[in-house]
Amino acid sequence: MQYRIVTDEKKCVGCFACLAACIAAHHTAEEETAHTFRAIKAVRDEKAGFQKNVCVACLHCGRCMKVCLSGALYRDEETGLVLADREKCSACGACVSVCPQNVIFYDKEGKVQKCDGCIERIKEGKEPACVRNCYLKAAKLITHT
Amino acid sequence: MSETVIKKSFCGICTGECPIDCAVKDGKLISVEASARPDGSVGGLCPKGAAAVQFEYNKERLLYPMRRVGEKGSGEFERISWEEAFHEISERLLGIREANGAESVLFYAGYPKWYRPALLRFANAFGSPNFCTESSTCFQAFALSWRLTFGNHPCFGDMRNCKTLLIWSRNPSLSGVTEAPALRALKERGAKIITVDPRTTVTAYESDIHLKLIPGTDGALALSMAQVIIGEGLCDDAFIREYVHGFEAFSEYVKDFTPERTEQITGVPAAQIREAARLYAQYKPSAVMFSAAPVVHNTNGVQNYRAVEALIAITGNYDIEGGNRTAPGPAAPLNEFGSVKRKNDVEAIGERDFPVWFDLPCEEAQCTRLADYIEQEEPYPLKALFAMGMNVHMWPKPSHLQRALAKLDFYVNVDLFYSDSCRYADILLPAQTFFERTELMGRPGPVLRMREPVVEPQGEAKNDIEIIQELMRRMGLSDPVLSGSYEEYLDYILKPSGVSAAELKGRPEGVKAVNLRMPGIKTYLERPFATPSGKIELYSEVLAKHAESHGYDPLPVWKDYREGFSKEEKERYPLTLSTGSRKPQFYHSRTYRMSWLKNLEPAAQLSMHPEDAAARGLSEGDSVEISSPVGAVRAVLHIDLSSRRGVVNMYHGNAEADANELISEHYLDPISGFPGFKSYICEVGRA
Repeated sequence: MQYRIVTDEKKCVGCFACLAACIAAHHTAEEETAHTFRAIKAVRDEKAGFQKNVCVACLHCGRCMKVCLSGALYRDEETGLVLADREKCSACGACVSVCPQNVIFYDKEGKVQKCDGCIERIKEGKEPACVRNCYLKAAKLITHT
Repeated sequence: MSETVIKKSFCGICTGECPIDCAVKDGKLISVEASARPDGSVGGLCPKGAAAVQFEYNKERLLYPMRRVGEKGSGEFERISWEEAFHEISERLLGIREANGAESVLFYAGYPKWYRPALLRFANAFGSPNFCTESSTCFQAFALSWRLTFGNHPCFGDMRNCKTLLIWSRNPSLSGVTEAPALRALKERGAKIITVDPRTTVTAYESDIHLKLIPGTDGALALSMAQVIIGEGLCDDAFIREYVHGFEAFSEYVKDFTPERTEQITGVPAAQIREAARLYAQYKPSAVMFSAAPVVHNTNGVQNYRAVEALIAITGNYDIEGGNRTAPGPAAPLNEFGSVKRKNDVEAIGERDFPVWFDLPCEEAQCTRLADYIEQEEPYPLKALFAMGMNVHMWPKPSHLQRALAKLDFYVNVDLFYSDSCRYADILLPAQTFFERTELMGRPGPVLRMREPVVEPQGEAKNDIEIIQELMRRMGLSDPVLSGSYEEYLDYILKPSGVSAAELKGRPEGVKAVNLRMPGIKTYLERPFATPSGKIELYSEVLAKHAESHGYDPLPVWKDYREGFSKEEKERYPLTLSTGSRKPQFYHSRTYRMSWLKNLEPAAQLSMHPEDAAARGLSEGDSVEISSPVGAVRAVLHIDLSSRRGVVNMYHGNAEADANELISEHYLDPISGFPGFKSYICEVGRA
């Protein structure tokens, strides 16, 4: 099965539950400086005088993978998710520059970090943490052909 | 190493009680996520619940009883045993009672609320009339406004059956994990939604009509809607004739509130006021969704909400299917919460200032002016405070209360965390979190649930009610229901429902009550309203009683808070400051200490309309100083197109940048004592 994670920006109210769930799924409580692999984006409707936050995530589109020269980004064959192999990362920044969602980060040692789609959870038959906790069903796991 | 086990529980960071799956490994809580409901659907969680492991494992947790060793406020404490703590507290409180009278000791309940009836019993048995809670600044003023008008507990809108929903200053998209999807479902089934909010929230944006008023002008807006409804003959005349007291005086009073004049007061276009009034009165049944605090956080707050409540009365939307219902569904009857009477043979604090609290009665004293009462020994010397979850940030001008707390002879705080309200305490006692304690769930409904421990308590933390029981035992105070074991107390609470605590054990899905209170409609056909006149009181006889002594007006009159400021003040502080509108990651003060949540956005964030920012040469992310007639606070600027021009918003409770430090402790609603948190004055400049 090939998966993608999408955010329905119309449904999203910017509650940040997915961001917190993302941190919690990848870190222990004591890791205070841990951050999310998702991002906050402001959307505006100028005419209506309206602005809200939406919580966006890696689409697993693979653009980063295509520009990565060190082979640190690759697509997992079984799930279709784009994963990072931090050891191979040369911190060239190419992936960051092409990411349409601004959700590729560098860790303290300057190695690439990104959403892994909660691959372990998916293999156990569970949805990713962000999807699990989204009360308005804006974060979704979809299958891709 | 053992296997990871999933234990089912309910989140307790706020009062939402969302079902959660707690993953526990080797006795440690590993993760918390949304649990499936009994029907198999997964509701989701808010960010606070999703990050809840940081609530349990927080470096600020209080783990042992502590005694102050340094100067008051120095923050120097030493670890003591529970034995020493119980002994010292018992001796000191009994000594102060002997020397100064029981009333010189205050009992205070902060967040959460579950142990309140037990603490009230403790205060009663001790002999003090001074049982206070954080409801001195939250919810109670709304309940009080409702009780003045209808005589009963607030009736919530019947969202399932209404055709029109009038949301009066509430934002379920960010404050209601279950309400937000319900609101979208309501829209899908064709109901019309009107939202009253100074901000264009997602809730407001998705509504059919958004009345974007100036904060604190709710009363004028509601009176104008009443003017349209009465003027256009859209009232329920038969209902008014039978059940409404003071309609003539009310309809005379609202005549001046034409939509055109009201547009000048509220900033809401006259055409929109008419449209909303007609929709609410004609596309029936209509329900009003209220909120706990935003409207009543104004110096005319009680009257403003009474004006909104009048709309329910004059359109006959009271206690009908799809309106505001007394009992929308079957519910398990329980003892305790809201039914324990406060000892009232001695004058309590706040009684002279806010007599309506005591007339209705609220069964708690009013402590918004606590700092003054301590400093000025009003109405008598206050010597000690026994608090559970004390939080000075719930008061206006928290630094003043901190200083006053330092003057007490003896101050005990039971808390989960070493908060800055612990700083001036003499003894600190560690409480158990909702992951550690056994507790009955409080949400109304036919199914009873018990929250059971998912992990062992950290350190020597104890259950709040067991702390109360042990202290009462040692002090020789008896109570008919607290003197037995904790489980016996739970059984007493459950008794009317016909279910025992033992039956709830190991049943996170809950047990349906044997005895149920069935839903009803039009209960006024069977019994009169519990008001002095026996009718819905647009003209309040309780307020009339205090008209001369306190200047209360029996009608839900509109008084403009802006008239309370001088011309010079308004020129110097041209912006309206509104504090405390819900942000999803915070809940009063308790989640600022969770780094994952604190770091999502700048914690001290001030929202401002782009035009106000441009006029001051400010941009997103700028470090700014907010100044008001009584203080100055630094914040990070967030430019928000959804804000109303001229109004800035900041969340409260942050010890590092306390928005309520900007609000005068004397800026209160004279009826409820509630601070005008949602409408003060300020100016913002570059820091």
